[in-house]
Amino acid sequence: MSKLNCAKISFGYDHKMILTDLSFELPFGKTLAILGQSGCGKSTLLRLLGGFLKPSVGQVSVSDLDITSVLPEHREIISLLQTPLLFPHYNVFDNIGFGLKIRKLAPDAIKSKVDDMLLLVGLEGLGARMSNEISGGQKQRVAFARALILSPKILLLDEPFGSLDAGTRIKMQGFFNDIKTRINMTAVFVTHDLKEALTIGDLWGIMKNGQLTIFKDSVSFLKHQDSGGASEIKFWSQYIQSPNETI
Amino acid sequence: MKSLKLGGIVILILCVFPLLYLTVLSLTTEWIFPELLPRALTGFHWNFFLAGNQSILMTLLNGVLLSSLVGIISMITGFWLSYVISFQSNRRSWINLAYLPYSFAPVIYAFLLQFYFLKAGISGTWSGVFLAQLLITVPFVVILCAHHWTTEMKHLMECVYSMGGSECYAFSKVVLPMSRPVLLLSFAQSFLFSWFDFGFVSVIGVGKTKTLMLLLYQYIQEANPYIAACSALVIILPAAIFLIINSKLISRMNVLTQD
Repeated sequence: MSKLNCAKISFGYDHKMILTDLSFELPFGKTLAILGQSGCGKSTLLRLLGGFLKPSVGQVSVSDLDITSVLPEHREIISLLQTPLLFPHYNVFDNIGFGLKIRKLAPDAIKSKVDDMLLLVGLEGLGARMSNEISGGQKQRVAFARALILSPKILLLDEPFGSLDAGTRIKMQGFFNDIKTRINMTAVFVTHDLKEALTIGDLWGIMKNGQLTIFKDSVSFLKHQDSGGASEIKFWSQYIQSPNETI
Repeated sequence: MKSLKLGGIVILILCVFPLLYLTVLSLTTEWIFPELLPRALTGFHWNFFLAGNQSILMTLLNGVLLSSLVGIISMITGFWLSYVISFQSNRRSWINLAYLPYSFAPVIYAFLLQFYFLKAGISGTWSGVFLAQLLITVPFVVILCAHHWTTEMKHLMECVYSMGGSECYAFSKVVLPMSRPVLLLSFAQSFLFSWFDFGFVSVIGVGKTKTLMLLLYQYIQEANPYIAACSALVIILPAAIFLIINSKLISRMNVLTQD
């Protein structure tokens, strides 16, 4: 994994700016959790980082190497979306090993790596299942495994747990944090859930009207009016009468 | 429940009766009104139709070749065009344009095209009929496949790119295997259009390019019901097979959409 640097990025179309003068630096092995409402430009930023859009102005670099004009297939940056998109005609094993086949690894090497990855994501024994035979949480784990097996430089996550139920979502957040520490993952994690941002992030960002504000500590992030932290505290405090009383 | 069963029987009779009638008609030499059943059954007409007349066999082969080529070329071209169109910002306008050939009756459209085909010197040729049929079937496949290029398909392709795969790799390993039902459906529908086409073959082909459909009309005009019945049964056969495949593919596509 590598460090990510965005310098004065702007992007727009049809005379409308989606991202304006956006800059941040994400150190190696850290996760930037970006919070923002729908339509604020979060997903556009991820598509820019993934290489599927080109910024109008500015530069994207990974480990000090300018990748602004590099095609997605040569970036080694992998995205995970809200819906875990698995290849429906392949089973879990082939889905996870898909990228290794692109890299023309020998079948034995693929098998060994996929088996290790199945173990890492807790899906051992499910390799032969098709994507419609596993749960939503398991699908997201397969998508994770398919991305992680290639050791990407950066992992981009666009509300990856957004479609899961509350219980699975919490489990997946724990799973993500566990994997993150184990493999020193550098990631940009987009969400609209404050608690998820706090649980996942090492750095935090708030995106509003195409502009990104970065916070290096959770307290200042939580205190910012656009994080929604103040209203969250106010909401819960009305159910707690005294400091000793719990729900 | 009883009325449903009765309805089913009525539908079955309505479907089977024409086929049964054509089969009996093709197997008789004398079946004159008011006789309810033919006097004798014979394979005479079939013998003449399939073995006794070289030109009928050639017409049959010509029809199979023409329809198969129209099916294959329409499937490939239409699928590729729908892919190119579907991720454009003016996607809607292109798809609306694909509906244009269907705003005319096929014969009128064929007459409109005839002027250009005469200028190009391909009127009355096999290639002229082939091209004219493509002008109808390719837009049809574009319309059919346009709905196949969903955001999900786009994201799956992007997923392949981000893993280091090229556009070609994404097509061969992901898009084509996932598109098998829609591709087969496109082929079957284009084949059937060409197989049953009368307007383009008669107008653009000016009687020089012969297909079984044209021959059938000829037999009917000649008041030769027995040979016409043989030719009608041969025309129906591949269509019936394709219709069964089509219905299976459509139900499979519906299952995929619901998933």
